[in-house]
Amino acid sequence: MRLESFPRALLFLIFCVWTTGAATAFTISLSGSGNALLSAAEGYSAKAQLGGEAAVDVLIPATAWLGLGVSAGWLGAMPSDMNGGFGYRAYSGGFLGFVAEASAPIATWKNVGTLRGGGRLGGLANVAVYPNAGLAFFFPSLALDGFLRFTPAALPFLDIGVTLPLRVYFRRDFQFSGSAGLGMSIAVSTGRTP
Amino acid sequence: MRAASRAVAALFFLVILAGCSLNYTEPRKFAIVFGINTYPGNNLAYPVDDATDVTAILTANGFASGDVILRTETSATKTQLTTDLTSLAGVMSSDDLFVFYYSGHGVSYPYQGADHEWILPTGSVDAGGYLVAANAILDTELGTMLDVLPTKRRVVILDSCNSGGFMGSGLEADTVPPALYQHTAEAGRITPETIVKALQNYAAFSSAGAGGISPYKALVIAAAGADESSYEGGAPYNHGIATYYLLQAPARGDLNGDGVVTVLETFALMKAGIDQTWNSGYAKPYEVFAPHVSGGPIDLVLF
Repeated sequence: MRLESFPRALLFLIFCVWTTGAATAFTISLSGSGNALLSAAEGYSAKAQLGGEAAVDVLIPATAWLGLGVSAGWLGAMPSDMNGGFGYRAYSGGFLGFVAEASAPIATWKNVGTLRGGGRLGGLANVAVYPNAGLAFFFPSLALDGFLRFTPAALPFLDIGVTLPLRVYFRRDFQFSGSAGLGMSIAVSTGRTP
Repeated sequence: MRAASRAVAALFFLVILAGCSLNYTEPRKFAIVFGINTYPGNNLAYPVDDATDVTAILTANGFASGDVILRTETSATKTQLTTDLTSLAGVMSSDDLFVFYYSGHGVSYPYQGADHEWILPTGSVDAGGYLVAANAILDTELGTMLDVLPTKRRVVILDSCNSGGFMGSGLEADTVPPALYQHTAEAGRITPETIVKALQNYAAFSSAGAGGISPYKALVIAAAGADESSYEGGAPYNHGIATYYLLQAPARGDLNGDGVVTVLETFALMKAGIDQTWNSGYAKPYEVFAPHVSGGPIDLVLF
């Protein structure tokens, strides 16, 4: 599959899950976040970069509190500052991986909605490129997110959430690389009715 | 709850840190600049001008004149490069920047049964036009020669044919083919093969690199791919084509407006210039070429 056809394949996957949703409940969520990366290469001091992610997740509930699924999306980082004569390169790319999500109700307000809290654990495969350089590289990463989601009583199929995404990037050209961020998500679930 | 508070505090620390400027000492910058016009039976027109003008832009943009060594024609030999590197090693510190610029012939020629690329300083081609290997510089040899320097902040800029062969393997898969004219349509595209190559590089990663100069030893800008020629041209260039755009880097290279010109920005300017003028209008189809740059997560300030 060429990378250019990836968005179409993703849309087809979403369509398939959507149209067969009557058979099994599932959740599709769109999320976006901004983050701060901290990385250090051997022989160079640590520097920070600003970055971001956007993802589409499809989750199928395994139990009342646990969902399993796939996550795909875009990630990117801006270049670090160049103080001291060096910096870390910007990059952008895509990722695909598996996620597990656990959540539980924190509070319920009658006729208003329900607030849920939870966390996600995921393993992602990333392919990124350095802009202008024509160089592509691979690295796996670990996703560890916390979230709060509100489900309005009038729209029980809809979740609006705030996420705190943490990432550990297993890049072999860095001694360490990770990020923390703040994001938002919106999710639509089948199998829930008012 | 305490753990959650710590996580939130760490998050805010990172966000604040991302907007901070820490204090670093700006590095002292050194360079060795080589330009060779004269080869037995196969002279070039512009390398000496290239080297002279590169020296001028370096000394006008942060390199002290005493820290730039210009070697042209008979003084631009492999032995002299070794001597100059040893001399600089005695005065440089670990945070200093070193630049080696070379303009002259390059060639692809087997060595010990394997394909290799060479640059040809004075004395490396005999009167019959044959390679004198002992006086030439092999793709895997230049990185070793640079090891004498105490700094890891090294930049190698090669305006010569087949110079892409000096690019050592790293984590990255290069989407620009080694001969642009054979694979113009694929250049810069991420294909399944690219992803497979990137996965293989991740699995077999070594910071020592292979086949050239490791990106963790020096950042290389090569004027051309390993299997293609680079060119020089008369007016409006009057230089090596790649060098013509390198010379514009101090004035036009700050692509992101942060006040400095980095290796990647210089490369991007050179690549765009070659694509938009030489490759689009001046060159015959088989004369198109594309510069290459080293991988690795680091970018260095040139100007």
